[in-house]
Formats: sequence, C-alpha cells, structure tokens
Amino acid sequence: MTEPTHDPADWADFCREAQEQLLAQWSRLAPGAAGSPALGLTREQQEAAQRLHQLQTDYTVQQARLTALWSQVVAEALKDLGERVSERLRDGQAVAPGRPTYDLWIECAEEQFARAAHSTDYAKAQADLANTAARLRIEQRRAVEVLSRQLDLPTRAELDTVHRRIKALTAQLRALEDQLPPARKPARKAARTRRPARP
Amino acid sequence: MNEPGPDLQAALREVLELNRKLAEGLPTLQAAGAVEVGCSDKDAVFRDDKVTLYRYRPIAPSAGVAPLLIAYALVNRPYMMDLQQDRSLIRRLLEQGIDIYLIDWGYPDGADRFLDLDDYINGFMHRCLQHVLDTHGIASTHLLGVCQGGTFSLCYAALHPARVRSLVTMVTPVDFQTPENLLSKWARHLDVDALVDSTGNVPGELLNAAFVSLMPFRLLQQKYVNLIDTLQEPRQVENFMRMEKWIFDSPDQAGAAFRQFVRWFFQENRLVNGSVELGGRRVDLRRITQPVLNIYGRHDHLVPPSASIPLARHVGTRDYTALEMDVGHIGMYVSGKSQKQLPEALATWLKKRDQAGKKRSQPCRPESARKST
Repeated sequence: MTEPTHDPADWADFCREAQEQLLAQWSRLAPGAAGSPALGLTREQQEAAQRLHQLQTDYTVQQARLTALWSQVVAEALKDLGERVSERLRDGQAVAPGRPTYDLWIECAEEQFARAAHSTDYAKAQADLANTAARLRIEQRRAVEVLSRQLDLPTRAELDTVHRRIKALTAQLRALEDQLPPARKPARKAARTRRPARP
Repeated sequence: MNEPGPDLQAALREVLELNRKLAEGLPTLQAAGAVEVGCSDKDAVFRDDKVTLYRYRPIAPSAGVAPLLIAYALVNRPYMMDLQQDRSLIRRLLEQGIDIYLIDWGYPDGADRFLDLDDYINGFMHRCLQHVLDTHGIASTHLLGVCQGGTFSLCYAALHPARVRSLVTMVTPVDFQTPENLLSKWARHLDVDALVDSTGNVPGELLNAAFVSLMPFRLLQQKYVNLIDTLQEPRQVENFMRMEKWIFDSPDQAGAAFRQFVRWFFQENRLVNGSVELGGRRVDLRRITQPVLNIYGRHDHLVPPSASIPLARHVGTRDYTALEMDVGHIGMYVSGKSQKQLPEALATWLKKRDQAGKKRSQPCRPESARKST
C-alpha cells in the first residue's frame, strides 16, 4: 500500500486502498466460520449462532465500507480546502487563520459530503449497515427470547400478541360506540391543562 | 527560539479569545439550561388515548372565520409553532383573530407500536376534527398540515372532503422522489421491515441522527462553534437552547405507522401515484376540490421545494395558491421573515376562503335542533 505524503490528494488513494484490503480480508474469513452445516440435537441453536456470527461479520464489513466512504469525503474536502486557499493566495488575497479558515473548511466538507451522500453508493452503504444492524438486533432478541421462554419469562413476541389483541378490541369497541346515539357516547373531554405531560 | 510568524500569532490570539468567550459565557449557558417552550395559553379540550387536542385562548377580537385545526408531524413536537413570544406562528395568527386548535400526537410508547396510518388519519385526526365541528356546530373547518402532518392532511382532505373547508399545507412533501430529496434517497434502500421488527417503535434518537447527518459538519460542529460567539448574550443563548430542545425532543414513532410511511411514501411514492389506501379507501388527491394554499421554503433541505411544488398538478381544486418563502425548513416556523409575512398572508387567505366555504357547505346544526324541526 502506498504511504501517503502530505498532499491531501494522496489520502484519498490511501483510504481507498485500505478499504479494499480490509473488505478482501473479511470476505475471506467469513464463509469458513459460518458455512458449516449444523447437525444433531442442537442444530437449531448452532444455526442461530451461525446466523449471529454471519451478521456480526457483515456488520463489521459494512461499517468499514461506510468508514472508507467517509474518509474519502474528508480527504476530498481537505484537497478542496487546499485548492481554495492556494487560489486565494495566488490572487493575492489574505487567508485569515482561525475562524474564516474553519468556516471555509466546513463549506468544503459539506459540499463534498453532499456530493457523496447523493450517490447511490453512499445511500446503499449506509442502508446496508442500518439493515444489517437491524437484522443483528432481531437475531440477538431471538436468542434472548429462547432463554426467556426456558425460564418462563414474558417475551417480546408474547407482548406483541397482547398488544395486537388490545388494538383489535379497541377497534371493535369504537365501532360499537359509533353506533350509539350521541347522548350515550362516552365523553372524551379533557381536563384543562396548559401543557402536555412528558413521560 | 524563533518568534512565530504573523499568521500563527493571529491564530493563537483567536484560540485565546475563543477560550475567554467560552469561560465567560459558561454561566450564561448554565443559566439557560432549563428553557420554557410554548408561550401561548391553551386548553386541552379533547383527549383520545395519548393524543390531545388543544384550543388556544384568543388574544384579539375574532376574525369571524371557522377555526383552523393544525396537524403537526409525528416527528418532533408541535410547540415549534409557538416556541416563544417573538417566534410563534400561532401567536401571530391569534393576533389576526384566528381561532386555533392544535393536535398534539403525544409520545407513543411500546404499547402503541401497532398504531398505523389509518389509526392516525381516519382515527385520531378524524375524531379531533369532529370535535371541532361539533363544538362550533359547523360542517367543515380549515385544516393546516405541517410537514408530515401536511401529508396526513392531504390524505384526510381527500378521504373526507366535505369536512375540510380549506386546506393549507406547510413544508409538506408530496412527491417524495425528486432528485434533491436526500432523505428519500437514503430511505429507498432501507429494509424498513427489519428496522421496525428490530425496534418496535422507531426511536426518536435514530431519526435525530438521520436528520443531523444530512448536513453533519454544520449541524454537529459549526453550529456549536458559532454558539461560543453568542455566549455573552443571554437572550440569544436562550433562543439557541429552545431550538436545541425542540430538535432533540423527538417522540418515538409508532412502528406500524413508520413502516407504512417509509414504504408507501418514500419508497413507493404512492401519494402522487394515487395508490395510498387507508381504511379500505383509496386516497385520490383529485378529490381535494376545496381551496388549497401550499407554503414551502426555498432553502428547505428536509422537504425541498421540488417535493412540495408538484401538489398543484395532483389536487382537483381550481383555487390553488403556492406561497414560496425565502426560508429553510425551520426558518418557516421561527425566522423573522416568516413571522412578518406568513401569518398575515395566511389569515387574509383564510378569511377570503371562509366566505366561499360557508356557501359551499351546509351548516350542521346540533342534533337536538335538527330533531325539533
């Protein structure tokens, strides 16, 4: 891998190369660990553990992919900042240190970020990471639910069933209420308060 | 040791100056910690589960028009419309003699995860509006939808046109898939089922993170660096803290409603395709034939103008007005420009349409009066 110099342009190449190497390493490791077939009495548990492992691996790979895109944004922004400062110096303009340069940096960074963020690559990398994080959470909760059921503790799935039933009952109750004459409908007038309560 | 060059000296002086401002301003920042939000007096007049309907107390003689019901977004809190005395669209409208009601959707918790868009629009919103109609003995009233609340209001007005005398949409996304809409580009690749299945309700913090990451350098860095310059001004610090509170005071989103909103609107752009279905009925924007005022911000980065402007092509009304304001999304509620121009323009528009609306809709007399005739 090429060592970057002080030229910000080199950093973009450096980050790209680092990212490619990292992705290649992870993709070599992942199939070996999660690909073996599950057998025997505990095959379901083995499969669950393999799924967890695969998702954790995917998560790390996707995090690296997004980090690399971010590094690229920062490198491009630095390059842009360098060019703008050089241009001003060439035109004989003063480049004040501190806040004006900081504000210029923010401008460069936001412009480069917007360029990257609107690309399909970025949107996909970000979404892939979020999607894998969500699937990982679902898998983790599934593991906790297995344990909870063994201990006869309430689970999320059980609560969801209760909430669904309550919702259906509420809808039925409302439909019945709607058939009542106005005078017999339950009042939903609120007590006078100035501000809503926060949980 | 060599003397540092003039640039380095200037930079060091600036760092020292920044430090001084920070040290001297810290007490102001600490004093501003617990800011009050919401400045106008209001009464809770109707409650439905966690949803509260408020009616604002008048501060000026009535303009004699039907009430204006405000439906805010589910994300963030509606007090942005009435943040403080000099930054309150609601207060400015009250000064114009408008009778204002506001739907506060509340803070959903885990037991609300199965509330869907039908529950919000045909349920809560419908019952709040019905309460307004019953209270005033009228058949229709004015509806103002803000941001996502504007999208809800469009759906509502299309499904229940006779109840909406006129419709005002403010910073409202209609076409969710225009090239400038960054949030939509990001949302399109999201596995919303996995997200909602993993979180139940979608945490407000997650949405906050998404919103600030639209402009991460400005919203996570520069804004706080700029704050240091204002630390000597208690009023400005208080304004900043109020805004900060609003930005991060984000209710969790009921899972089922979030799932539908992302899929139907962001991913499938159903509102303009005419394929949103609520309570078994299709939302057809052409059924909106009452007057429509569409207000959007020229510099809105959350709901870009290109997302709002297409409304003109989709509604059935012949009385359509677009009002472009020279502000961003948040500036629409709190900027000086907006405070000066918007309430008067809105009140004037409402007053004109109220008369026409009265003629169109039959007055709805109370039940007892109807029986006696």
